[in-house]
Amino acid sequence: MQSGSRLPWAQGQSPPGGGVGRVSWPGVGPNLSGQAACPSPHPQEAMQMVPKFCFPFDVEREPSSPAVQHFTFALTDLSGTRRFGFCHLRAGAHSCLCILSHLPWFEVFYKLLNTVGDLLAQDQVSEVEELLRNLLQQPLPGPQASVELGSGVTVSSAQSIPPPAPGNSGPLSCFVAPDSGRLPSIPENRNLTELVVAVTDENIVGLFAALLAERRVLLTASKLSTLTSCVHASCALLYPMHWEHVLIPTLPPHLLDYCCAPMPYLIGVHSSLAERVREKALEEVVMMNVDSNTLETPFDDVQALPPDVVSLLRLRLRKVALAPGEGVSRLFLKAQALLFGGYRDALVCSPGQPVTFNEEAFLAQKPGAPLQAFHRRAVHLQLFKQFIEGRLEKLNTGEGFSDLFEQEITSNGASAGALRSYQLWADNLKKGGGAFLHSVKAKTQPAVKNMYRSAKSGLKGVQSLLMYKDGDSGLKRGGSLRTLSLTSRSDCLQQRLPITQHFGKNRPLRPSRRRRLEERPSESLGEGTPALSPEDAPDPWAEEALDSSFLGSGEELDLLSEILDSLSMGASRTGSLRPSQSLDCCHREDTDSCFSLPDIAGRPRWQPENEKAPEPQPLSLPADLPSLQTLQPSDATTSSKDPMSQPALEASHEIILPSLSPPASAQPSSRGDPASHHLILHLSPPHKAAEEPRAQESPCSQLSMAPTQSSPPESPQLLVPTKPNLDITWTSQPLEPLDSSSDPGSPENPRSEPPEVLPAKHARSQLPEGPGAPAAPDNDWQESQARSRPRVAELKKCFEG
Amino acid sequence: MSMEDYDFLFKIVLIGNAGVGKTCLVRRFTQGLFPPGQGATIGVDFMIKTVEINGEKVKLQIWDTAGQERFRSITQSYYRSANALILTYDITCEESFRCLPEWLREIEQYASNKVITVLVGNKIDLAERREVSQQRAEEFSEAQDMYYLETSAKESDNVEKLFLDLACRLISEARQNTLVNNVSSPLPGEGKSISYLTCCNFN
Repeated sequence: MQSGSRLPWAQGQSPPGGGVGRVSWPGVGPNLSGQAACPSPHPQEAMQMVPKFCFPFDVEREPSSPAVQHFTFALTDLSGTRRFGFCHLRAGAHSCLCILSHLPWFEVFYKLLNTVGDLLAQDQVSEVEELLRNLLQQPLPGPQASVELGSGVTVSSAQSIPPPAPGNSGPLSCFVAPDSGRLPSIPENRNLTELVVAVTDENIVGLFAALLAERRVLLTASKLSTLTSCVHASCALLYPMHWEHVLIPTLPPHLLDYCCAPMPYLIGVHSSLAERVREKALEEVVMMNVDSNTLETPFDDVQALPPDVVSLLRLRLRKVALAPGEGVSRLFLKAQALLFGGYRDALVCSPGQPVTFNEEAFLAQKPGAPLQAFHRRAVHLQLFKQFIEGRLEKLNTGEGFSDLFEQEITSNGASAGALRSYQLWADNLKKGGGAFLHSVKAKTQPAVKNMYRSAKSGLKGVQSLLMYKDGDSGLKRGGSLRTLSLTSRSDCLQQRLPITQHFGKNRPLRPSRRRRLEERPSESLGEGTPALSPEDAPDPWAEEALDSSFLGSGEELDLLSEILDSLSMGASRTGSLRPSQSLDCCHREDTDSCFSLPDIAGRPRWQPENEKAPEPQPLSLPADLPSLQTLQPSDATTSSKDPMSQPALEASHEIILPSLSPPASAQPSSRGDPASHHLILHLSPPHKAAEEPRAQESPCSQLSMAPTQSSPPESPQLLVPTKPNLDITWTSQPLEPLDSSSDPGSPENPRSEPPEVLPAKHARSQLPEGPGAPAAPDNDWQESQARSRPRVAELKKCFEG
Repeated sequence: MSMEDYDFLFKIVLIGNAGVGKTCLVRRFTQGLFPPGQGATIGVDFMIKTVEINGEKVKLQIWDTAGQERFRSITQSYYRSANALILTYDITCEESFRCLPEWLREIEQYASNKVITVLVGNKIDLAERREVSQQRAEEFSEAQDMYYLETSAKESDNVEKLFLDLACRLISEARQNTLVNNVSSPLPGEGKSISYLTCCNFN
């Protein structure tokens, strides 16, 4: 409705960093005109859909949840680029705050939403506006940097930052980006924690097997937070592989027919809709009911896995599932290494030629009948194919890798003997090495070695590349939020990699990695590698990181203490861990404290987390291979990517913070009714994304608050390209998705346009009414607090016991 | 159309390089009959068209997913539950034709499953920019034992024919029970049964 006015503070403001723009959503329009360019951008379309995704359940049947629910939905555009919608569904389910972003920063965004919710509950609308605006406009914090969002909220990639000075009366919070270099751990990683709490070991293995066979998998649960967490966490178990097919964490009611798709998918359906889905005569679908912890499958996928792997999983999972730490992630990593580790021996590297993968050689390996049988099927899996392509690309572009997976293969190979030729590789490494090898130590992978050799002749500086880990620059989600108590490691923080944002797909691009090459040529390369100018000398860093990747017992202790610290924040009661409960709780507490990530070096293990954006692999294939290969002084290649590598909160996401009323529950009239507020904060993806969806490396963030329901007048403004990004509006009308054609939040914004802030005067005036009674939040908070206690206490017990 | 108002239901999957016009092809075929685009936000979309062949109503569900271009080829797991594949290339783009063997390599290994594969050369409305001759494409498809057709999604040329022919072949395959009984899956223990008479609740 009243949209046209600009926020006072927004006027004349130009985006920091410039070049920030909105990316239009390349939706497929209902346009049947048959024009050559069928897929045309229809940003509004996607934005119109957002409210439906915010209430992905049968609003008429589903009683409102007593607690706040945090869940995620995913929007996948025509190019396959994925954006996540992080939702905060308020008690009573009449409004939902949502942030759209390519960044899989689950914990960060959920907490941020809590903060926003609390502020709104206190009618601190201007603080919210400022916070969101800052969020959209600020670039992603670089290593060791932090971004002040106002209201005492800070987003940081380092822990060394001093606690934000108490700003207003708002909560004092510090959100730390997840560390991509780690495996998801319990309880920091919320998704994984929810999965192991809700689903028994046996079924987790079954789910893993089904995903590994690329089945059509449907999960149902009555709690949205549990549902979407299980979806994301189960995908993450596939690391270093990625779920390459359709992924829909929560399927809104109007799209239920899509469960009939003949291709592989992983879809979450709220239990209120499960019945309707079952009526669809699904064929060959693996169904997992999280509430009842039952898995129905027409296949024998678990039996199709090598028995030793299955027994390993079954035996060990039980033990590690309830213990804090990375045990679960590491167990599945081990399984993956056993299953796919043999790929290395099928890599073919001849001088002057790109490294290739010889499928025949892979299948000709004799690791034992069961594994061979598995391999014969595996080569027809998309996830395996993409994994191989990703590895080859890294090798051939000189990026190299030495990630957790490779390390795991190495250790497996040594102990299990599954990889017979490993020793040969290792021997070769020893002989050929030099300084580079020393620095990398035994952790260098054979594949890397190959790379090194072929590179030797032509690629100098490649070696330095090899030292960087996969996870470095990638953003991963994961909860690596730590308490301040860890600050002692701040020195290590310096080594922290910049946070990048590529997300959109399962596998994010990682620009920053390349940039890193530039920045930190390794000195360890003694050979004076030319290419990357060694200005900064991160070597020590590299080594530290590598070393730390090996689990040191000492490190583990640190981890544990960290966990305890964080757990101790609120726990006192005891309860049962097992029952499927969700973890909504625990998270509210964060608002009051500052969490930060431990430095890399200090980390117990350097591992990329998997989840959504698990080890980010460059998707942008081929294009630069040649040039990279010649990585000579390279500035060309690196520099070109550089800009992008510095992501920014700026461009990388689209934050939508709308409070939507449930589609069905329209109860318009009454003012002050929470249901009727629509506040959408819209962060648009990097402008580049539009052109090269895959390479969303350069994020430009924009903040826009748009009314979901908007009055016609408003929408025009938002659509205007150069217009402001931030538009806050509030309407007293119930949100009806279909009617919101004029959705202002629509990403039509011009891509390369500098972000501007949209006017939202009325927003201020009206917002106050919206978010409903201030008291509500408090209740929620308390409730969640209370709920969290049992779990935390349990974990603590486990830990201590 | 009512839900049970058909005798056969077939699921068809589109594959091919990016930009060859897969989406347009389907849109053209289903134009006006089913509102497409609903699934555009979730990376997968499908369209439905019901045709009548020899008095029997055949419902075709044509599925398309976003982001195929990031795959050099699509593996069996993607289409193992489909009744037919439409492999599309662009006649004005030599590159898209040259990629076909890559796509087919995976499909061939899957041949025992009898998935029907149709090769479609799209964009014949751009004849002046043709880079792949019809003869060459026909020879290729013959060698691969595939049905071949050239279409123009823009002009609607042959689009209807494509789907009708496909429906005929699917019915005939179904009659021979090949679809139901002869389908073996790549994974052991995978009891595969493509039921073409399923009742789906599509509106």
